[in-house]
Amino acid sequence: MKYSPRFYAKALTKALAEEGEEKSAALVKNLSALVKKNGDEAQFKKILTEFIGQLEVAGKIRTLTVASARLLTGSMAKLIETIVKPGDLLKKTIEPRMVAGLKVTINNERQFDGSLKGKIDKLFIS
Amino acid sequence: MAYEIIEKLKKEIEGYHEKAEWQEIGRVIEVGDGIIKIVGLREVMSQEILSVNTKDGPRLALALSLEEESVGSLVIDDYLSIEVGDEVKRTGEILSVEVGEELIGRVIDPLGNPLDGLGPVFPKDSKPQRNFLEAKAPSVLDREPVNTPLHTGLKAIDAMIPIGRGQRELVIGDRQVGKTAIVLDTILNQRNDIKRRTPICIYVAIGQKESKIVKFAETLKKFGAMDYSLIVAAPASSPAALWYLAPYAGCAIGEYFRDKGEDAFIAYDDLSKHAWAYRQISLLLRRPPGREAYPGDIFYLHSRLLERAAKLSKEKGGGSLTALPIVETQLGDVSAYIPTNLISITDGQIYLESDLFYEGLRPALNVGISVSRVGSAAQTKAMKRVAGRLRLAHSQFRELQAFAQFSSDVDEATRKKITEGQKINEVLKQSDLSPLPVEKEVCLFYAVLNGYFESVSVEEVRQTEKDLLDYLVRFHESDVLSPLRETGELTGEVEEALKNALKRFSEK
Repeated sequence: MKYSPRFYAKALTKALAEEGEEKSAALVKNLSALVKKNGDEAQFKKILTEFIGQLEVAGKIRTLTVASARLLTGSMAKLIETIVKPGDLLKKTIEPRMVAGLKVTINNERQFDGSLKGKIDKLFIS
Repeated sequence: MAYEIIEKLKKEIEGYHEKAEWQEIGRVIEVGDGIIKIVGLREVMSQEILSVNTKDGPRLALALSLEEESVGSLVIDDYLSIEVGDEVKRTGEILSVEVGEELIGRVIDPLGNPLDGLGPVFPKDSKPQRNFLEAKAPSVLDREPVNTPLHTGLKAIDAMIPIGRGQRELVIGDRQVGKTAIVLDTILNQRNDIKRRTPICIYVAIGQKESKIVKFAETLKKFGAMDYSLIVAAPASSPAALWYLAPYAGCAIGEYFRDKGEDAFIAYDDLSKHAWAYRQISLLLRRPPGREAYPGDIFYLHSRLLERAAKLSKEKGGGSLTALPIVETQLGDVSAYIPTNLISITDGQIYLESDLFYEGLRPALNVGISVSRVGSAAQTKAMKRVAGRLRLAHSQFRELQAFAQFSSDVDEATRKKITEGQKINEVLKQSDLSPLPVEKEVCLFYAVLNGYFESVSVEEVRQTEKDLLDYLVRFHESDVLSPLRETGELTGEVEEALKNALKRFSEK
């Protein structure tokens, strides 16, 4: 690995800020070529994760992760749709470990834990 | 156990109020031997307790290194179930330990959990005070000079290296030379010092063998010293995190008594192992290593701990916390990194030497390089009167003894001095678990320094000492021992009574 994924992501963020969004396709293509030239193709996924993370920190996008014990249907699914804004990345996961309820996480940094397991854990920690 | 869980759940469910709130979270990105690295948690505080959600339930960790991109944490729970990707939440609580009178007589771990099998330390419905493990030391204005003795019951120490309440005195020496024995005797002797407040004694065992801790606790129990003592144990089998936290937990407990206006005494056994634990944690957290691979803040690690030992001013309640840290040397090397740090932090050191130990001098105290910077301010007037001459006579003897080794023929005066010195040496010998009340020490030194042991041969000194003390207890409790104990002074009247007693004893 010639450079860490964080450095590639930071460089891309800076280039996008300087060159403007109209050149974004060209910049991403250039990055892809550079990564291949440096032999860091295996890091593509990590670079993408870092890049998304940096956009989140800058407040440009929002990633919503909704975890539930079972597949959300009916009113719950509709409720989730109401909190999603245009441009948000929505990820839905199933975590049977939660027993019941749901957890909403924004940008992997802030979380609303409405799961039964979370409530039980809280009782024992306090 | 099941009943307790159900009862706890029932109470919590009855009084449960749902608070819908957003929490800051992070994720584990690296797991090491007892440490984890976390991304996220940008607003976490140093020393904050974190909860890691593992597949086996929540595990607690302590935020230690707050870095630009990650948080280095110390796991204070079982770390084997933590995996990369586990979610971490803040608790908003700084690491603290429950403190109170209930701790007396108990053996606990650094997190306050009982280890003695006697059940919970605090009653179920009580809300004990919590003291932070890391706390600020009292300021200059909150303190007053050390002026009250803390008698160890060891003749050599009470006479020549006196320890005062609120002092920090280092016990330094190689392994197996009697460092822990000094602490043990000091704790046992607090029962003898009936004229002063009995300090609450805290023994902090860091990385000690469990068998040794059990033996220590059993000895305290046997002599009734557990009535005013407690043990904070992080045995050799416990993780480095607990070794690192143990002295701070002990100190937080000591501060509770100090701040209440009481006297407390704390022994850290030993800070070499504490430094090793901190080195291990720091290296795993990838902090830059310095000399002997210790991290850069190793001095601060111990100085901030030992600065919390203090004698508080009357306005602050007049309590005190006396610290007796122990440090182990390798082959008598006092110039190693940790020993020199501790020597410079403390108010003096009691240096124990292997050679003296094997010569039969126990405690194996090297009087030449042992020192107490508080000095005679922490001695009773009676002890001050006899101790000055004792130290002089002892050092003269050591010097003459060295010369006498080279010449077979020495003059009468020198021979007399050497014999007197040998007798003083004999008097200073003391077997373990037999601390002596200070009034008896004074009488003994008075006798040996004023020629009352002249007719006794060196070999008979120890037996004579025993007979003399028995004699004084039987016939002179009221006119010699009791006034000395009550007033701490060797007044003209008491001195006269002591002289007469010694004269009669010599004639026997």
